[in-house]
Amino acid sequence: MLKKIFLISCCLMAFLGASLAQAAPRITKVAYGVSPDRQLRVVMETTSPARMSSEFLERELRVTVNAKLNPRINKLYVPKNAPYVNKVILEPQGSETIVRVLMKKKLSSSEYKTFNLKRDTVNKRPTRSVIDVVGGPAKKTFTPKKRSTERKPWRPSTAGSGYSVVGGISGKRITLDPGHGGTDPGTHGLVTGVYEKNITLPISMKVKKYLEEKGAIVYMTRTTDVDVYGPDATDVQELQARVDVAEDNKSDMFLSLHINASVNTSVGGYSTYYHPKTKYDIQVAQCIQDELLKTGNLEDLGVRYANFYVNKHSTMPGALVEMLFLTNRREEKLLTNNWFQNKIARAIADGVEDFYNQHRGG
Amino acid sequence: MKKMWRSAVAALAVGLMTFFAAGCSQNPANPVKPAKPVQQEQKVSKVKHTIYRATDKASQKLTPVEIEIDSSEKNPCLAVLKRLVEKAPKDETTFPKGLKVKGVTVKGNLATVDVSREFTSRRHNDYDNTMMIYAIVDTLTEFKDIKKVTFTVEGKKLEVLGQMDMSEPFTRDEVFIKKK
Ligand SMILES: [Zn+2]
Repeated sequence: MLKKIFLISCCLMAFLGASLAQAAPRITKVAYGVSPDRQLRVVMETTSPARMSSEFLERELRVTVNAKLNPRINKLYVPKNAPYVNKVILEPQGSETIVRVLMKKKLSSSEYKTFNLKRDTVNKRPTRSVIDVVGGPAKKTFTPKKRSTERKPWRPSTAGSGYSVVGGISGKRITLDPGHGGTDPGTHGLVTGVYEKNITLPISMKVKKYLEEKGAIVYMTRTTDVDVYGPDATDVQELQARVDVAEDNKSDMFLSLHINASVNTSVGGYSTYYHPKTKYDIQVAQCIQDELLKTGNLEDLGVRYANFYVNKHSTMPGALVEMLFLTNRREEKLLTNNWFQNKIARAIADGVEDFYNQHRGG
Repeated sequence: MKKMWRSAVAALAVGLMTFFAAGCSQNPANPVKPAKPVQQEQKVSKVKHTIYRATDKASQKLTPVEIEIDSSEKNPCLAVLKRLVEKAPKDETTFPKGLKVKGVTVKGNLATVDVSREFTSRRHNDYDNTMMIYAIVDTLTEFKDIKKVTFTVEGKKLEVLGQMDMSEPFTRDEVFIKKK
């Protein structure tokens, strides 16, 4: 009798186990990165959404992911730019994986977070489980060790700066700067988790195409997912590197393209920022904003003055465009839509053309 | 008769202090050491100040709000900013959670605001960063001797916040304020 019960329960367990294993997510890839503000990020790509639970001991963060680790994945990672972190160890435990982040200092609960990212159909990324841990003092944000030597002090426009606004768009040299890239993802969408850097790039490439169709010569600060200065740059170096591309190409115009974000998820709309270093900056911003507002029933946050680094430190007319909000559900949907990306790109190119049309005669 | 005189003097004193407070001058060496009976009569007088809050969600602009602080505040700038930042309504998202104003010093027409590290915690939220900065800048430039505002984080100079160049002081920008 007892034997029989034992047998039945064995079968039942085997059955349950089999069905669980079938549904259980698997970790197919693990990537690591340290952001300029020294956040260590562990991204685990999974076959289906996984659950995470975390606990932290004195000097260790332990995250249990209910996903089976692909045995081919390297189980040890020693970060280079995260002085607080000794190493990260992945421990397979049946259908689960324990991620152990060994710290050199005591952790507090505000110094790490775990979150899941949904499947991203635009950028063809699978579901992901992410762990962010403080990797070092967030020094870079406010104390770059040495000022970038190539940094140019800000000066108001000087006559003969080299740019031209007359004669229409044909032959104009325009530098486009897709915001963020590489180790700096920018903000991210709350529904799909898509990064700002992965939206600014395709839109900028589309703007490039439309501007070239109108006869402009277009330069890009980046055409792939990279840091423009390098992965270990200070914020100032990274931004100056973008300005340098515009300067080195003797550009007539410099546009930086970004997506906005707010903790207040109901905020949305377009805004275009300028720094009045030349008398043309505000006109460029206005022309672009006017065209953007024709893309749909979207909020007009206006043309605004701002101290944005790239606008202030470049010598040619330009603007920084905040193309909607990734933190707004409706706008995130639009931004991840190829058709709408084209619409935004065309509006920006039309705005630039308008600006040059207004100055046709000089 | 004597009593009337005394209250007139007290009123004058309050008036003078209000004048000083509005000028936002720090006066650590204030030699006022009121004796107990005088203090009773002076009570705690209040000074009105305008601060800017993003309370109007629809306009996405800053709205002026009148507050009162004690006229005896040694550093009215700090008191006003603490009210703005640390006593913000729960649903207001202008400032990151936990942000503290650690000090305000004024030299000439430049105010330096020292804030806690939460200031940089939303560096990719360009919208939030500009609202946060201009809520502070527009509030401080309500003090008539303050024309420029710069920021330090835990005492250290800030070069960049997100896309923003922080190396030079900010001046008042009313584009963020709701038109009446
Ligand atoms: Zn951005």
